[in-house]
Amino acid sequence: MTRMFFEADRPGPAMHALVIGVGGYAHLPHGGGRTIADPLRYGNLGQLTSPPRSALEFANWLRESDPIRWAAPLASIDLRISPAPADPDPGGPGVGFPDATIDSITEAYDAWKERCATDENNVAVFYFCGHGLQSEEQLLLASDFGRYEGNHFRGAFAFDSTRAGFLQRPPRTQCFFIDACREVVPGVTAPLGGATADPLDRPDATRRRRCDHDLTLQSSTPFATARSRPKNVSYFTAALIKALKGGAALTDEFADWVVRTDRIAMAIDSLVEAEAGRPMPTAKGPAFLPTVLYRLDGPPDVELTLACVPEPALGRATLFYEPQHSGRAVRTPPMPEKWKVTVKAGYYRIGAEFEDHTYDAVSRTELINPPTTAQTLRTVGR
Amino acid sequence: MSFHLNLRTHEQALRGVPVVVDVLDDGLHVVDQRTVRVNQRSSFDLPAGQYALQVTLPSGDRLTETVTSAPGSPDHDIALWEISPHESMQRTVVLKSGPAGGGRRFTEPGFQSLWVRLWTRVDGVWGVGAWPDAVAHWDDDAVAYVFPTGRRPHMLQIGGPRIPWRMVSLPAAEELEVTVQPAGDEQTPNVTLTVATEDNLAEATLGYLTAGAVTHAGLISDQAEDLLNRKTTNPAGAAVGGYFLLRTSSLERLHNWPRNLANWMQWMPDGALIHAWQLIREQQESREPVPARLDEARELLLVTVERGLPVYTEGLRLLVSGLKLFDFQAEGADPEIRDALDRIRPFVAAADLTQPTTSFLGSGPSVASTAPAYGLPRSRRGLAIVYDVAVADLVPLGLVEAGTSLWLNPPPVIGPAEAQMTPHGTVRLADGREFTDLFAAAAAANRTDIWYSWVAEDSGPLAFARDRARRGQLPPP
Repeated sequence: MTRMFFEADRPGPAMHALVIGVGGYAHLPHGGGRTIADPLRYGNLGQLTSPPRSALEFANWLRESDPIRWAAPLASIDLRISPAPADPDPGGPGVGFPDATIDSITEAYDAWKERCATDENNVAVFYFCGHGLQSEEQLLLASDFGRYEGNHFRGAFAFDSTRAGFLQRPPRTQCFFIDACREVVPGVTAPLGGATADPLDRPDATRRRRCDHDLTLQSSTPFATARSRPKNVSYFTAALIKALKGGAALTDEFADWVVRTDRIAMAIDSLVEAEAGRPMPTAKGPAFLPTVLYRLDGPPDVELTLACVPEPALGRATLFYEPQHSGRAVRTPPMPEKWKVTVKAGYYRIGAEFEDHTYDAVSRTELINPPTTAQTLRTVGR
Repeated sequence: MSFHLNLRTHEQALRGVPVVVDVLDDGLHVVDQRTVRVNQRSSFDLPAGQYALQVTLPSGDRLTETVTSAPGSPDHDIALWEISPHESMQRTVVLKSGPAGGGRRFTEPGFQSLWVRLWTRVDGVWGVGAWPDAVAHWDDDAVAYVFPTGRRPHMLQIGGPRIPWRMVSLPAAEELEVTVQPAGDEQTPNVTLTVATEDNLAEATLGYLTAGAVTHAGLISDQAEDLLNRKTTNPAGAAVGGYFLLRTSSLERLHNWPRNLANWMQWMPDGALIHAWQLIREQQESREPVPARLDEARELLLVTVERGLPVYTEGLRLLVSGLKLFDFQAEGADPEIRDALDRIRPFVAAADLTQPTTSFLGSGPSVASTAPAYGLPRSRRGLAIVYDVAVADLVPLGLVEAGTSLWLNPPPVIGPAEAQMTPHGTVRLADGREFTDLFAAAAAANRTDIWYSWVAEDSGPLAFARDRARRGQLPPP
């Protein structure tokens, strides 16, 4: 029995997460094991320092989030981490985790599947960060990819079929987050018949679909590389956590701020772009019907930017914003730069006043929504 | 008490596009969610007070506005042209995700000699046809074409010296709108390509589905059955309706129309595929699955592969999923299924699954490539240059003869030019182009374009040669 990264004994529906971060690849260059012959056939695959840290960041955020705010309270997180040789202790000195070999991942997946199946109102969360390749489906590489010379892909699993298979398993709410490349390389597609890896699960032609609410996000499109910063959390994972923290929140009929599966899917691309500074579109799964994943305890943070047109007015404007039931915040003295502030989402009176009376004062009420809102105040010169 | 909302546009083709609007009261409660139509006045009967309108466009973009409900309140107008960089882009910006305008220009070196050509399948054989006599708008940040595709499979190919060759499936339409925009960065230039049929309901449904907004797609697609039922007049729309109903497991609403779509529109692989998945899903939901129905579904998947690649990416995903389903069931021992998988594997591997229509890197409709091709095709047949021709390509393309004398005329002075103010607030030039930006109107009116200043002996400004290249009128080699 594997010791869980987090486990709580909770009656009734609960959330179960399996989090995998693969950075160390024993059989790729500089991995410490026997290196596969001709590794370039798989592109420039090497050791990765970001995935273990990204997986830990995601798992830690799940663990530290308020369990009762989830659609079903968090009950377990199983973690499989293979650190890169250049970053052997991503969890801190002396903190070790079960390795993310294909056997270990398969064992963890089967156990997680059983936990998920205990109640159809559970929430299943699967997270993978590491190397990925693209064949007729996405292939995700475990830390022992290349261990068997006869078929390197015995150390990998086929994601799309795995996902299709799990759709036919309980629970009704399922989230799969895949933060991996989808590069097409000669070693995957050149051999006759193409490379195939077994899935962790298989779909069945006669089995009913059990998933009603799907959130499947794959960080990179085919031929694209899931970019990240060495020894840092990847752009996709950082954006995903921001989305869950409230970047994808909206209010419901009770005026509660909630994070719904469809809103995450709709917001993730702009959140990733904000992290990476360039568009990095994600691939999205079947979705089905949306559901609330997480309820915030109040309005989320929003990055509000205030500006004026014509532009010279900004250097003369005393800008302000005023929340619905609170006092006014003012920027003084006037500055030529846009005013960027972090505020709580909600209605605001925003405006610009001009002490030198060069322009007419202007103000209006706006709903300031997460994750970012840019407002331009149109002013008229006197 | 009430207020009235107008989503305003002066783009005729956008009129009637269904758009989902959420209304929040001053306490942030969602008090209404409904579909409104572009350029149609919608009334909201709500108590007096302040409200926020959250307009989610089919592109996935969201517009937020505040409005007051009070006696005699003026109509609240949201001008959709304000979110579009060009008049010709309005429909694309509203319906399609991605084309936000990333600040790149076709005049940059990475986009020179970017080309397109149109492939058509006739009697099962793909060939390059003449570049259509399309209605086109060339702006330096977007090029838009409108042309008919008719009832046969079409694929658009795009590529360039620094842009990988890509194939994009085109749906059947009387008026298909294709928009190309520069994207990527200086080191790795790329293009965003969007296609839209004239069917606003089908395109809005597809837009919401692509953006991950299934509920929104559901709100506007009460008429999804209508889409499918209109299969004889609009087969592409019928396919979109079918995919939507499959996605939402509305199996009873599919009726027997997928069978008819498969039988009547054999040139469109999506019909057989939708019918196959209708049978699979029915059997999966059935307490007593009928093996013969699954055999029929298996057969239909094989037929789909024979007919070609589905037009829509949703179909490509379903095709692979379906074939793998039967491959697993047979433990890999069904050679026909294996062959079908082997046939489509390279296309799926090279496909961009974020695009609404099937798109893959390839040198032709039958050849997906894992090592992208670059450059100009040697064959000039049906080739059209998207924006600028690289100067180095003018001679090889036969647009200018080697040794031709060139001289430089000074760029024209601004003005005079004739234009007209339109009732909807745009400046319309004599050639019919409309602008909201006076500078853009002046630049366009005066053709402040260096291609007009360089003049070739005998053939006039180089812009004329470029214009022939843009219209696919390259001389034969």
